[in-house]
Amino acid sequence: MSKFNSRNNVLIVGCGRLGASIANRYSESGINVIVVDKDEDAFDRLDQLFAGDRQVGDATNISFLTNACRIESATRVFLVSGNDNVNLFLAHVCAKVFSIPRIYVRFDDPDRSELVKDLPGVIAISPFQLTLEKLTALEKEDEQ
Amino acid sequence: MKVVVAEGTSQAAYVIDSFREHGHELVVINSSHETAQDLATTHHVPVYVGRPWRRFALEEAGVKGADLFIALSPSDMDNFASCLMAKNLFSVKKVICLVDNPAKVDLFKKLGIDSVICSTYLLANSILSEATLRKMIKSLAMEDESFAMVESTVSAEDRIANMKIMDMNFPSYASIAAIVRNHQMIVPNGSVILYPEDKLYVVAASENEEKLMAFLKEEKDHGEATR
Repeated sequence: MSKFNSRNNVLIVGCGRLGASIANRYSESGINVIVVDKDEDAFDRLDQLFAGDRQVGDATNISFLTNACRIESATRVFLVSGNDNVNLFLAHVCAKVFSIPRIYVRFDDPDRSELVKDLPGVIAISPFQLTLEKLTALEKEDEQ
Repeated sequence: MKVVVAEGTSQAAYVIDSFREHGHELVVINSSHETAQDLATTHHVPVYVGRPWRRFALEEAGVKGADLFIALSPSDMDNFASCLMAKNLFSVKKVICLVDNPAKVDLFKKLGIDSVICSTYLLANSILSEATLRKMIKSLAMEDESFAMVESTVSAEDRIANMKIMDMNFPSYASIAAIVRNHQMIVPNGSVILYPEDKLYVVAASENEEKLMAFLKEEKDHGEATR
């Protein structure tokens, strides 16, 4: 099997509220999912029936990412750790080193989005930006 | 040259001193109030208090268009983010990044950081000494590391001191681009004599950099014996 065809996992870095929700959803729909966090207690947020793989470790460590997290088999990656700089670094690693087809990265600081805009496959999401857009839209509705 | 020193404590102090000594313009950014205060009072430089991986911090500190950006945080991730932001959003010409984990040196370079200095490596070799750090900063690799500009000051013990360039067997793999004597630039030719305290700017292919440093710093007696 070629390396490309063997991509069939979803990798989630950071098992906070967002990471755990995404992981639970994928697990429910029967998709292979690997969720990583440096803190084992974070996995308490996963459903009891969570069928995916849990890995405790530092995702910025490339050998951990390759061996334990099997990043080379990931078809999409969610970078949702609580540290923007870790998410930023991993977005660059996933795009430039591992050529992951689809990379979602969450930034609390919307300015970080600028730093990934030229990376292939990377989509930056900022809760701040989303909230602002939503509020603007709601205000517009009210005006009408 | 405009130099930005982001984060760091004692390394920052050293870097600040060594650049100021050579008359460079300094921008110092530190996220710790305590360190900022300390650097400002003991080294007499204005220090901007802020996190250098935030856009507004770099903006307010005046990083735009700097020639060199040195990131000295103990966190590799913070250094990476600071360097990326300085380079991509503030048109900084060259970024140098300190990393703690030796395994990240090549990776950081691959991801676009111009020069990566590994603190573990430096400590292991106990070469956090003035000479080495100075050499590292000054012999900046250029054009994707294919060649380097080495800055070296002639000292009285050097074999090449008080010699004409044509008589010193200057290696063919390197070329003296300029000599600075008493703040005056001298265009080198064979009949120019090098004196102690002359500053040489020498260009060489990266793979010959070490050989070149050895040649420039060869000592008098030792040199005569081995030649």
